[in-house]
Amino acid sequence: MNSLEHEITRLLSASDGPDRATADRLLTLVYQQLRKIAQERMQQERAAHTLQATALVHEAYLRLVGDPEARWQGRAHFFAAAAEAMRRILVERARRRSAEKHGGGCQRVELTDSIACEAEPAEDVVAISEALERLSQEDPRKAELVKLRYFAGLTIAEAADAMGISHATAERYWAYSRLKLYQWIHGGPSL
Amino acid sequence: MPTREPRQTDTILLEALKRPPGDREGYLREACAGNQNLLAQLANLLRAYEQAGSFLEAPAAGLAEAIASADFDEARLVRAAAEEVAALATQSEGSGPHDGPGSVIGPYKLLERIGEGGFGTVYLAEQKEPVRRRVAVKVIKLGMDTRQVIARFEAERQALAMMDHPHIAKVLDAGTIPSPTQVADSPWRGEGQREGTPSPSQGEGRGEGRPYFVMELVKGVPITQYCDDQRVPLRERLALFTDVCHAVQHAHQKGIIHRDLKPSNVLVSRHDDKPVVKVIDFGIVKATGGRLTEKTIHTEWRQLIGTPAYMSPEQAGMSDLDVDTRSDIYSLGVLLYELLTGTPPFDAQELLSAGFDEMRRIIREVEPPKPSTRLSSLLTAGIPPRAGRRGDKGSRDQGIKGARSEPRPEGRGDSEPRPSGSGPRPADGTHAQPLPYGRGSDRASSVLDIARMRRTDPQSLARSLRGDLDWIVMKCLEKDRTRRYETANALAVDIQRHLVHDPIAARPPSRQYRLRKMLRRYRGSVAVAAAFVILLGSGMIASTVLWQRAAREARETERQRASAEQIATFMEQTLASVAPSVARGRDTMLLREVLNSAAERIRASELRAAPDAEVRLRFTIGDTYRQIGAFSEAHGILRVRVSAIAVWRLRRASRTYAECSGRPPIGRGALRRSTRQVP
Repeated sequence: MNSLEHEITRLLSASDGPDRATADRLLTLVYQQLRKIAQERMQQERAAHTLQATALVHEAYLRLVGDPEARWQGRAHFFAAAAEAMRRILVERARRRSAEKHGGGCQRVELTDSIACEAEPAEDVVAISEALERLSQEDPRKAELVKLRYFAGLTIAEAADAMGISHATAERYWAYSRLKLYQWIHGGPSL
Repeated sequence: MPTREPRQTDTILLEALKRPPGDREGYLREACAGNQNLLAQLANLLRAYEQAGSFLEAPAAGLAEAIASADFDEARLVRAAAEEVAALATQSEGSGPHDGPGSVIGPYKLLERIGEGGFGTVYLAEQKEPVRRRVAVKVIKLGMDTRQVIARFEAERQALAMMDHPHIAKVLDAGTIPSPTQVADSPWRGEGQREGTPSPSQGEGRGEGRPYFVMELVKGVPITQYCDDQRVPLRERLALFTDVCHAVQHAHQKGIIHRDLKPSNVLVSRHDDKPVVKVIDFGIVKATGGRLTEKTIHTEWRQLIGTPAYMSPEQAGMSDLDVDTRSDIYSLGVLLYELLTGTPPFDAQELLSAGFDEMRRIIREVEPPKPSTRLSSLLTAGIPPRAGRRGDKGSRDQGIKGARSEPRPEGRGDSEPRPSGSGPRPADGTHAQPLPYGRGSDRASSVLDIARMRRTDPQSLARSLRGDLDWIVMKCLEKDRTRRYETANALAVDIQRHLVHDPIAARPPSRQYRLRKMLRRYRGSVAVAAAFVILLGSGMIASTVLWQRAAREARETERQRASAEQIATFMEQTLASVAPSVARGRDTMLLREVLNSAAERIRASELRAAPDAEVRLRFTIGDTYRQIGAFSEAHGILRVRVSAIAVWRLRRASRTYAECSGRPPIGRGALRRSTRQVP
């Protein structure tokens, strides 16, 4: 545990943000931790879906970094890593599910309410993720904020803090991005 | 107030959304000022707002499940994500609001960044007016309610200004930096409240801009780091610590509670080659909202996880109103604990990983081990301090295993005792805010290191903590604050008492304790008194023996023997309590003379009739000789001829003698032979 903490601290305190190799290692550690916590929780309580991204990410942070005095850009790196890992996981899972649904060796099932319910978030994640990439080309900072909010479960204040922007700016970014994404996904009239 | 400049889409959008629905379209039209393209775009977004509901407002669902059951190529996923993160880091570089070196805040020019912490960033800055001097400017990070921070600071400003103490770094000024983005995008509000007088026109909810504090510049390192780096012995640590107490006392008298005393807020620098303590951040913690307030871990968890290892039970109880000077006393106790043992009573890491509620429970309910207990438990287990922390058996066993797998080289070079890899550290250590205080345990990862950093060995360190210092520390750490020291001064006084061997207040006085203290305090006089006692004692022995010769009856003899025994016991105890080992090197001349004369009498066979008493006396005298380093005398008096019943005592004595002289012990046979040579 000791050496792990050291390593995380070192990775996070890379002054100008992680380079390729650092990011790689950081992601691996963050991902492993997220996975460990999630699995623990799945065993503990059957209703693991009640475990929110917020709790998951924060717990991972506490376990890995712990030290509240860690440099605070370090937190930004951590949350960026966690959010990105989460996004990838959800998208991957959603893609697999839809692949299975489209006859990947499975039998056809009549469309029922239960399937419809299950399918909805999966579809959302892929769509949201794609829309996010589009937003990222328009304004990467805004996309980053959405990622932190949606995939890492940060509040606006926390995300603002992690990104080093003011709360007011974050609020502006958020209001705009949320609606823009909605528009793109749900085919609003413009663009 | 309105301006003709084109504004960014998101700014107008948010402004529109803040208005009642009926006014929005009108506002858009006005704000877009004829820009049809922008207007159409915004109108669409407004329409989206009506349909979007709570779209994206809740974080992605099903995450735990997804991640727990993920069975795909993790390596690929991690690689891809890492690429993304690395790309993002390069993008975002420089785009955040950096009040970097070179920028000017009010009358202060930031020169270089000297530290960073949970609160924000500390800069070395130059003040131009009204006086030219160097100061430290602490820029509070975003996400705090600037207006409240400034208002709270203003409320305490008068009191802060009255603080004037050599061990307190003064807070000179406070103000607000308008955030760069705000200046750029909000021209109608971009005035920037420089001088800490927040204008009521600021946005509702959180104020904008960032508060900053200007402080006296302190070039120092956290006290724990200083003490370990310089290998400061216990006494000097205590002296430094009493300076901290006096500083805190001064602030308390001015009505200021620190609320966040911890090593990184207690800096030590060298002046004229003497360490000088400065407590920083007085008044800032309160202004920035104390930590553990009404918020919960899932909302603003970051602000709330202050410094749990140093947090008092009532602070952990989250009743902000309830914090008083005695919370600082608690934190002082934690600081003292760490200065003495190298670890805080509760490990910061462990507290954090325990989860929020458990952390609060531990701080409020769990009784930490006494400093000496902590140390000796580490000692007996021979484990790094991190493991086995709460003294539960299971984890200690694990710790032992851990220690075996990681043997520590003995007798490392002592020029640089600090093990490497103790986390990030600012280059020159000025205002070293970011120091991970909880890493104290890493810094000194074995008891041996902890002791070495105090220029002693683990056993004597544990010994010097036992008693007074245990009591003093534990009195600070009382869960019930009415049982703590009333003031920081009382704490300092008790430490002073300990240093001069006066009875301390923290300890329930027992007669034996006070006596021991008296003996310690008047060491010199006690030695003289003891000398007389010995003279008297040997005189008594002599007369007893004479009288005994006169008495014929066996009963009488028996009684005398018993009384000789008693006298021997008495002398043993007297000599033991004088503790000549302490007096070594001084005042031993008289003692030696006394011993010589007693030995002379014994050699003159004055005690022939009470052989057992003689053996015991010989042993006592021999042992006392040994303790004052008179080995050949010890040898002489221990080589005796007495009856066989005393052989075992001789053996004990000869073993002691052998241990300290390095000569072989007198063999069992030789002993027996010598006891048979009765004249």
